[in-house]
Amino acid sequence: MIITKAHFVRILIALFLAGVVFVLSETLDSALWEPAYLTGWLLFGGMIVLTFLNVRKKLPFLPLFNVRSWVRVHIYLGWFILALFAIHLDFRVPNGGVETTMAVLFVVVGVSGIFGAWLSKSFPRRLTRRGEEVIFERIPVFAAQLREAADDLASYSVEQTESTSIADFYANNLKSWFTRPADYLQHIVELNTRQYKFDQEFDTLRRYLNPKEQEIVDELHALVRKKSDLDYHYALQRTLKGWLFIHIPATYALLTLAAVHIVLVHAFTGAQL
Amino acid sequence: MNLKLQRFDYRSSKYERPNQDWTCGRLAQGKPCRMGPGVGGVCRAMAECRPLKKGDRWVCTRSDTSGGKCATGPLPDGSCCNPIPPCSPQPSMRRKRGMLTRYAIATIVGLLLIIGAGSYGDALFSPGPLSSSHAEVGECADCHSVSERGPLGWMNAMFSPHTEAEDVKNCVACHTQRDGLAHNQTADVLAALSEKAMARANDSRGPFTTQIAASLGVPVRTNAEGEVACRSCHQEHRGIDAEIAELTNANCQSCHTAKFESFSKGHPEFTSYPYERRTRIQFNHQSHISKYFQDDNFKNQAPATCRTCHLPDDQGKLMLIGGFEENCAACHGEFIADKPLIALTLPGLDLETLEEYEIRIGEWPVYAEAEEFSPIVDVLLAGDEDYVAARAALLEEEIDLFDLTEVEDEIMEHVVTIVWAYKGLIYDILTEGPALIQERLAENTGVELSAESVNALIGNLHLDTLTQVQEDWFPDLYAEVEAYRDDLTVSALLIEDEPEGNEFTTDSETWSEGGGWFTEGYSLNYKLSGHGDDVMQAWLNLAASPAADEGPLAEVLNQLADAKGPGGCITCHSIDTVEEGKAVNWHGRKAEPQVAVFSEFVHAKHFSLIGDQGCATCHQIDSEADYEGSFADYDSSSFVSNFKPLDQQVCADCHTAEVAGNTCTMCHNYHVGVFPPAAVDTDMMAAGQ
Amino acid sequence: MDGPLVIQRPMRWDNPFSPDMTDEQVDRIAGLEPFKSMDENSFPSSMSLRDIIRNDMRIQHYREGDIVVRKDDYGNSAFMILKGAVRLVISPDLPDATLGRQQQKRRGLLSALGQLWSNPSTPEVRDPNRLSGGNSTGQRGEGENSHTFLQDVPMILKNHQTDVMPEGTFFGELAALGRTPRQLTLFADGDTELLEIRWQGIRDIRRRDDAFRTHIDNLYRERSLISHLRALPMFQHLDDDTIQEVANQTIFETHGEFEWHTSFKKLAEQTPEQRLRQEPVISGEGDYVDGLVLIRSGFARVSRKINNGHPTVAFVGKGETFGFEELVHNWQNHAQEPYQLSLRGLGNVDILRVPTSVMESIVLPTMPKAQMPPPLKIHTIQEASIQSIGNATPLDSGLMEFLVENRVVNGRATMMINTDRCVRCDDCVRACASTHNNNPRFARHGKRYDNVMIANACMHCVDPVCMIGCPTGAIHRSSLEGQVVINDASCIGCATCANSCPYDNIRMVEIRDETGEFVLDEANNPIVKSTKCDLCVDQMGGPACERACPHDALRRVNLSDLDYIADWLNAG
Repeated sequence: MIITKAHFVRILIALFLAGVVFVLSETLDSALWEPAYLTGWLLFGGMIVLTFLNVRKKLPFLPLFNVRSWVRVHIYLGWFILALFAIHLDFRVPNGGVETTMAVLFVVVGVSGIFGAWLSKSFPRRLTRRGEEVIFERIPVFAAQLREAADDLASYSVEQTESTSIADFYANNLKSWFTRPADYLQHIVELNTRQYKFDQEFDTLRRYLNPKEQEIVDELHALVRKKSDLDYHYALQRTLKGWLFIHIPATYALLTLAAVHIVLVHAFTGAQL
Repeated sequence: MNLKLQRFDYRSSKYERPNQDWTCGRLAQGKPCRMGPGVGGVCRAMAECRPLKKGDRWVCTRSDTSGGKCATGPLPDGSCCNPIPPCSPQPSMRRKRGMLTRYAIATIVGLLLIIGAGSYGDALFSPGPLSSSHAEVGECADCHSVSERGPLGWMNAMFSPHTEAEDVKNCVACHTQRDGLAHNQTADVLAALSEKAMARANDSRGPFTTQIAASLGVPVRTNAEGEVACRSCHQEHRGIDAEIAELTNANCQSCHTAKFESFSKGHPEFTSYPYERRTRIQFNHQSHISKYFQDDNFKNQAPATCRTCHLPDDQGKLMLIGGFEENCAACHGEFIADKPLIALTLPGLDLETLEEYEIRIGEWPVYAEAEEFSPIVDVLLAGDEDYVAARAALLEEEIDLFDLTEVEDEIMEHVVTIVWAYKGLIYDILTEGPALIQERLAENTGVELSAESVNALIGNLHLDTLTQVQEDWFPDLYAEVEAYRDDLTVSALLIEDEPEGNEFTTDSETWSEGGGWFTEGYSLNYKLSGHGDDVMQAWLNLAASPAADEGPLAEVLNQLADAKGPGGCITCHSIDTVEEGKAVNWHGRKAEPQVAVFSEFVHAKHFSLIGDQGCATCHQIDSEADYEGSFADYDSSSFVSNFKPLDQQVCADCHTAEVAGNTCTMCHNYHVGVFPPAAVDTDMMAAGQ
Repeated sequence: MDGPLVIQRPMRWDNPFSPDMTDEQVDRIAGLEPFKSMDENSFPSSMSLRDIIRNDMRIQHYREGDIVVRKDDYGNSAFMILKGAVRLVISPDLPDATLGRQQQKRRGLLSALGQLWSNPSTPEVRDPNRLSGGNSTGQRGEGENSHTFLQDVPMILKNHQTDVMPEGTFFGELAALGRTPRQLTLFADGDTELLEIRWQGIRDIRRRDDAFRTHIDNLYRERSLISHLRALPMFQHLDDDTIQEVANQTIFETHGEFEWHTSFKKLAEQTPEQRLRQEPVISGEGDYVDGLVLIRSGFARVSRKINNGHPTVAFVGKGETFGFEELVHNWQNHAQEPYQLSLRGLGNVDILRVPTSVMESIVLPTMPKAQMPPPLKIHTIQEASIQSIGNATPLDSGLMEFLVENRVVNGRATMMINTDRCVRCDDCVRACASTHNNNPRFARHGKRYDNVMIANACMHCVDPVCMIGCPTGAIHRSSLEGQVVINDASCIGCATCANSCPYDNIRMVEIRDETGEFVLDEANNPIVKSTKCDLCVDQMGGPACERACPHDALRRVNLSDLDYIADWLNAG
């Protein structure tokens, strides 16, 4: 993950702006105004602006600044809004039904956003450094190819060597592993337990093979490594896509509740828009 | 082995289309078809090609990009040899995500509708529990008028003029003594207070946020009537334990014109506080401590500490003073009753001259020798115009009643009027009783008194006492007065001896040594029973009533409200001018738990903190002050304290934000006024059933 | 070369220009001018004139109105009229539609926004009505031999000024050799027989036959050289007469045997040493500075010898020069420093060499100070290491060699993806689809060096070899900014371009109708079209892929601006 001084400077700017809002909020509070109107509308407006990233992505044909600029705004406005959220809540845990749900959703959105930003910074480099760069949607196709190649190799070994050592090993230790993406968590945390175990098992197997079988088992081992690499890409790429399954639905649920919240607040405090 | 999964040439790798909503159902097996799902996720795959009949044989038409012509070729019936079994297309990642988003929104909306419409609606929409003080409030509508209008009404309310004022009514329905006005005071009062405050203001701009608010021009939020909504300060729904009455210093500063940073920085000097009026009981600490308590005669009676006289009230706020008996009587008790109240005394007359000129005044005791007229009699006779004129004329001419030898006839006439007025008064009282006094007071002063009050004024004066007076002074009173009133000739002047008591009985003065009526010569006097005498109190109270401002009662007050007067009450009990008339301060300041004033100080809390100097830490006697001079008039506010002003620094040493706290509300109340505990009206009839 | 002497026939002859050339036809052509008067003996036995005629030439038949070449097309062959005549369109130019090209215009705001709802929901949908008819041209013949013909020749003759070239005229040789756009549009005037000679044949004949060479060189000198020189900063101060003088003395050279685009994939499989041997040295490190080298066509890399290696320092392409610093240094200091670096051809390279004497006597004395290069850095052996070379170039050495080896240097709008930043969100692909009727026009995969991926998207090459051989002219450079685009309507799906693209950046698709069914021809074959990135030529704001990337992981880069690439790759 590359975090440069520029990132910190931008975060600091975001937090500084939040500080300005904080002072403003305290000012209104001390002047017996309800600062939650100000911070609340800022918060809501900010969240709407954050969702503009999505709108922008749907309009790639319009010259509305690069998406990378939007993402930058999204991230640092996000930091600003996280701080604003704390200010709006007056650094308290809310206790109303709607409010608590909103706060939980906000935290979910915020934390998943930070998590996503971290993933976006750190996972690509890991993906670059291991295995072949593959398109996520094609992974099942390649996995099927590898599985077939391994199946073929196992039957080929029986035909060619009249020994079932490799085929047995394949059937017992590898076949089911080849059928589906495996070792998701191991790959995410970069723990090569499975790989290590397979290497050991291959080493053991090699003791009992003749030179012809050695050649075949080398090929099989290569297929195993390739499958492992593919699983690695599957795990990381899925995670890179997966966090948005939390971030986006929670965002819209939050916005829905926010709209209800705004109506309630304005109606019940009697503050006219 | 260099195994590559991917090939990039156009035959091996077609465009990947993540933009499509659906993917082939067989992608998971790694064998998606080339056709791909149709709109709405319908599988459309049939066969890999549509063979063409060339002559009598069918040929494969599979395109080059899909692998070229197949080896097997079409089946004899002309169908493709590679039919594609139908699949169930799967939504793409993004479609799944979109669906999840829609489900999330639908769930939220659904839950709101279901719960909101049900009996938990209030609980759902409530932004949090009420504080324990409001635990009794049941429904949203109890406070929020808008609540009953329903969701559409709420949306409408967002854009309609604000209902805050309406909601304030809901607050004051229970909190009856309060209203939206700041400090419960009218704008005029506040303006006056502000002016006073500004005069004392230091040059300071208030706390940081207040300064920003000022520079941004954030006004205080009030309605058109200048009322502040309760909600401005008291914010609810913050949990059961929430302190909804808490206010920050900056909150106070937002309205206050004289702004300052904190108690230790910029708070106006106390100046006269708390000595803002003279004490109700005049007690000169300076003279007592430095003079009387040093005196050998009183030394052993002098109090040892401040506590001997001053003890805190039940709330620990005020330092009350003990009673007369405990604190003063030892020295002052015995002198109180020395001087009696003279109710009726006969003026001495130059009887020789009267006789000489044959002025018919009937009986008049020779030894009557009073030189002054009793103001009480003057009050009772104030309705008699002739008497009033006679009194005025005699005063004007400076007539000496003991020497009437050279007076004019007209003066003689006045003397006669006075004589008969006196006799008539006694006659009338004897014939009509105390009701006459009640009637005369009502007619002459406008003060309507009950029979009981009149009795208090006449100190249980028994009819026998008065009859005895009549018999001793004017034995023939009835005949004389009736004849005089019938305009008949009254018998000649009778000169009598001085009445003497029975030798077996004690004289009336001795009889009334412990208080009560007695005669001394031709005076009917009342001997005080000591401190707290009811008759004196009754007369002083009457004399202080508004009617006494002018007219006959004023003279009564003059006489009674005198250090040398009977009892000398006002030596200690100061008289204040109040809204209507005056008030005698019979007591020192009392605790008033229901009254909230602007500033409060709880003495009791500080006792453990004060050091060797004790009370003098704050209260230091000012030996230069002309304390007594403050009591010359009836104005309690023009005042010189016995004590030096409080030193603010003494407070500020501890009262900082970090140590003992320095919030405004520690000493100051926002809601000022009388706030009796909410009384509960219980219908006794209903309760009994 | 060690080993027994064998006759080395050019490898290209394994795949002759036309398999149908008969001995009679060869005889017939050899009997025509200018071939008749060429000296057979000046050709080596491995490459006789007859063999060149047999393998590098073919006879093409055209009918009235058939288009032979289009103005601005790229071609690698020249023509000679055997029979009949060819008409050239002088002015005005034929409209784009007539030439089978796309109507070029940018979308307005409404049209751009309209894509939000007008894009079909299934892939590769075409309006079948627009696939046939409505054009002013038609198609004759099959595959690569098909010809596009003008429907209404009399109308064209009426509206355009044309001229006729008679039998025996030789044309198109300069465009073929220099791979420059055709100057004019030509069509057959009645039934016509043309001899088409692929550029290798022309090159080889030019090399052996003095008369032919003189003819070609004079033609080039007359038509192109001066404007070529004028484009260079160091010649801008010269007046017309002086520059003519320079042009007259400029030497033409050709280096390398193989076309870069056909050879590099095979080279990639060879050892580095073998590969090095295949690179013709145009000017060698340590050689006498004999002139200013100017690349006329092809690509070359600038290398420096470090021990046994020749790491790449820079690469140069068409219009760039080599040796200027040394020339100026020697002239200013009266020194005789040799070339400090080597210029090695990447496949066939045509160069111009302005001799040192011409430079010193004519060009340099009057050159303004501002045009002088920075002082020459004399290299010493001690300071050199492979690492120091890597540090001196904007990009890391490995990446430089990767770009050279895969001939990515050809790209002007190469899609470069930084996989260290790419979160594989496919926003680029979706943006591309949104701007191309719901169809992506690139594949987000490709060759990779460390974190730099050259995705399979059209690079809009300096030398667009895909355009060679398109029978209908459907693939062409856009008149807007020179983007290489394909006119979908006139594409016949022959896949010539897809096969020609050395980078696999053109993809054939089977088109569908509105319902999503494949559109079949009369033989039940799906109709295929050639598709590729058009750099959003009609969109507002440029390439959607680059603008859609949320993490700045994708840029369209011009390989002649390495500093830009380096800045982007190294940015936080």
